[in-house]
Amino acid sequence: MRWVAAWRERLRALIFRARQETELDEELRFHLDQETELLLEAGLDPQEARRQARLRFGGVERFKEEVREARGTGVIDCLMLDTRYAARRLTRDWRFTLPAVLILALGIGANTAMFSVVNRALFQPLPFADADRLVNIYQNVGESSQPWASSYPAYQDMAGYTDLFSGVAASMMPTQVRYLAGPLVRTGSAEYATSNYLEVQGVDLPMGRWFTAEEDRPGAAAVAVLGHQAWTSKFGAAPSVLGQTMRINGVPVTIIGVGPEAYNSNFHSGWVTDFWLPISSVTTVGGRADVLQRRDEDAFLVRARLRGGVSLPQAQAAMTALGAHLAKEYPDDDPGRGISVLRSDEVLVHPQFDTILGAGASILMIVVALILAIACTNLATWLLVRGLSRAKEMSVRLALGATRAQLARHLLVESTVLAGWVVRWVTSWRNGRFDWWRSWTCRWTQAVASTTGCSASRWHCRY
Amino acid sequence: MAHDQSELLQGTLELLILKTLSLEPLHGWGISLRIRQMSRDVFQVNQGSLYPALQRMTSKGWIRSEWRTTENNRRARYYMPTPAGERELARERSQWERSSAAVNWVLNSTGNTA
Repeated sequence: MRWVAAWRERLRALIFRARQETELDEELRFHLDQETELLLEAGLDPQEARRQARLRFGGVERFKEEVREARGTGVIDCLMLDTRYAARRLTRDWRFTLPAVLILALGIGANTAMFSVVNRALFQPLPFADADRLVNIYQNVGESSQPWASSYPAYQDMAGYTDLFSGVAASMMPTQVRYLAGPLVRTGSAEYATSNYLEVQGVDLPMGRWFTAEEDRPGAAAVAVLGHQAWTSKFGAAPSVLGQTMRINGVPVTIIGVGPEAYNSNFHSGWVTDFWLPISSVTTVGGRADVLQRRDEDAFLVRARLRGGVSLPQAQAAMTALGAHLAKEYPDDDPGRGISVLRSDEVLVHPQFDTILGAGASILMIVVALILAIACTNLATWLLVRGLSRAKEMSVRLALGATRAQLARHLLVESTVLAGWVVRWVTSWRNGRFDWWRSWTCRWTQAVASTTGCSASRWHCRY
Repeated sequence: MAHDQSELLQGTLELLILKTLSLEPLHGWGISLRIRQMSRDVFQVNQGSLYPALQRMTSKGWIRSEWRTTENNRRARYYMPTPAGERELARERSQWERSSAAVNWVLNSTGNTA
């Protein structure tokens, strides 16, 4: 493979540069010595022989330069030089650099934040084992009977269908709690869930354990599973959190586990749960006395795992029957409500939001792209103003023999360095709640930034 | 005469180097001497231009080099062709023969065939 050899040689050249230079010197010196000797033998006096040898050889420095070029490190050398120079220059002109970075950070930051939500909701698969056997069950709502959420008694009815489901888990929509972390009172998000929540979804905990059925009984001592992100960002990923007692809403709660890294909340979206608590503690910790009894409290999301051999239509038929039964039994609370069964991997966030989510996401992406374009033009103008003040510098460079391509490359590198700084800044600044999607989001940001760098300098070069 | 001392084209130089090295490994100066001898001094080039060519060919993977001691006990970098270089030589040679045959044919034709 020719290009492999070429790149290996190029890499070698970069790493062993100093050695290669001395080797080249030695090689050329050897050549000149040999040639001189040949001429001495032909009868020339030493001085003349030396001169003739050099004459026959041609310009030593010129050929050295050609050899270096042939090594193929020239491009890399120039880029490194340009980058270093650009960094120095931008640091010195901080009065120029600071606004430029701000302009770009706004554009890129908006873009990144938006992308991270869209990415999460639309492109990332569910982290569950055998996700195709998982279903979401919703009680319907409204005149057109749209899937919405379930009450806890309805969940208990659903959980009775053990012939259809190998497990049915419920979790309450995330609610806000206050908790004491060291001397600070913080607000966080809590999700009350059943003890089989983890098992049904097929997710593993990185540390500790989930609560048992015994711990999910009224009157049991309160325990909690700490969300992975809260664990890393608020508690420094310290293993010692296990067994610690923490006050959540004033109630002492013992931390028994750390939540999965890839799964942050029953709302598969930007929402991140800080604590998972047993569903029965919603009365003590959550302070909502009758939420588990009322049939008109649609606060629960139900997820079930189909038994082997049970199809989705079968489950749907059974749930429709249950819905009809509930409507007859509790005409006041469950008036004419149906029940919908949907495959979990076909629900992005919630069936009510999904339809508008796709369209909304594209519109939002377009809007942030426009913001970025505006930021780009602003930056280009800013660069242009600076370019005018640098006209003298540019003419000196041209006069000294720089080609236009070299000048353009220099400006390009400068803009890219600028954009690169913004990326570092933006990504370090927003590693709070969203760093869950770090990898893809970061790649996206980098792509955006390099495009921005290039297009801004394209404008820049035009002046 | 100036016309006899043809300007050496880059590709031809590489071909000559490959040919020279296919006989035995040589150092740079040795190659330049051998080319002068073989071509009966028709090819007059700056000897220095040999080295960029050698580097280019190394980068392409046609030749490799190692440091050896000469008979005069001096360290010198010896070049030798790689298998890829051998193949390149064969390819270049056949191409050269084809094109030079074509040129000869054109030059020798009397024009009566038209």
